Amino acid sequence: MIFIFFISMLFFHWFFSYGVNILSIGPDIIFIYVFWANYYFSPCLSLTFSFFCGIYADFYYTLPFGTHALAFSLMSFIINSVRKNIEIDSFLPRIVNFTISNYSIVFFLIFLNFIMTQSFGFDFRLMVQPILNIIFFELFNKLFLFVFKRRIDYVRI
Amino acid sequence: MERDKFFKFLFYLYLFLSLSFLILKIDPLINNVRIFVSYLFDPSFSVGTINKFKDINYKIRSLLETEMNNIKLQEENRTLKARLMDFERLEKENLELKEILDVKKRVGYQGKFSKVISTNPRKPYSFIYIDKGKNDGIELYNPVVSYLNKEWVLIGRITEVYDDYSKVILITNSNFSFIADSGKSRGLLTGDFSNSLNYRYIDGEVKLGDEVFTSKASMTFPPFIKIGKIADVAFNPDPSLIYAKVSVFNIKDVDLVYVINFKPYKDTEQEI
Repeated sequence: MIFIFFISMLFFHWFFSYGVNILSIGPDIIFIYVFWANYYFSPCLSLTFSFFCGIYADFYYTLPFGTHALAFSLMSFIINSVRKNIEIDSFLPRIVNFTISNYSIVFFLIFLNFIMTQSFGFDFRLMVQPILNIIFFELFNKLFLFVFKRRIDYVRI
Repeated sequence: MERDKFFKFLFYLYLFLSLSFLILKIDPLINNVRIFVSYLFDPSFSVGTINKFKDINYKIRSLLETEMNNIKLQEENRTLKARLMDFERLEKENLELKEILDVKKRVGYQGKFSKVISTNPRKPYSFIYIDKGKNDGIELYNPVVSYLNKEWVLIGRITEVYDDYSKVILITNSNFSFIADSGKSRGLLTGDFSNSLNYRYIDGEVKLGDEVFTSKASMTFPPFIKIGKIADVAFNPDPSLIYAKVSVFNIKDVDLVYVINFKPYKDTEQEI
């Protein structure tokens, strides 16, 4: 199932990266998938999924190879460590949690890229993208909850 | 508990892998993969994108064909470069020959060009053999000159003629002597198997740097052909004992010679 989930991520990422464009910004489908997987899959599975999503993102983006893999693995570890105490079923906590995570990842990637390449690749679009991501996350959340209905009862804590 | 341990193990493993990727800096390799994949899929969204998957076979084949063509072209490039080097050599040789032909018009003597085919390794300044003989119109005692340093200089004369080749005794041979003139002197030149001649029995004044030519008084060679320059003068109170050294050609430079169609007044007067 996780493999199909991964393939669907590849498809949507490919589709939205080039198809949907607002101010030349597209939603970060990879992050949406990783964030969702870390709340609704078991810890080991979600960590593995995050790592391989990171590898894929490293292939896709031009940041130093390993940057996304590291960022997503760390994010997965942190989320899995604290997710018992965070509730994302309600709309507002979910939005706040998602936004904070997304901006954290963006700043972490910028910081890591600066360390590795000594170039400060800041773009204002990176600041706007999380807002677009929220909208798409809500859409995907509905879709995933529908598809993974049965499993939610099993994996949710 | 077990799950927690495994989860931590996985986390450390992925952390280690991610950091290894970052530290090892494998981006050049990844870039190649990116280029290859993007070449295969051309991942730009358009209506026709799906159809592009059909071209993967064709693109892989064209990639391989390009590589093979590249190898072929590199080989061809190497061959052409080698030929070009040969052309450059031929061009240089051609220019030299053209220059010689231009100069030949200024020699004033009829004759034949010939290549040196052999020298005496033990005594290089004694004899040489040239690739023209009786069949080419070469005759005994014909003077032989060569174009060195942009001027014609005397080399020797034909001493034996065969059908297709001839032997040339060089003026530097110790068995060879003839009369020569400098600006204000006349004397006898004799060889000593080196690139200098002994200028003896000097009548007149000699000084360093004077050019030495064949003499009008000589029946061996036509007059006014350059021989060399006075390189050293040994003064003596007795004028008859003054002698000078005349530096002449270097045998290593003598490759192409010109045999002048000149017959001495009497063949037998000059003994070799």
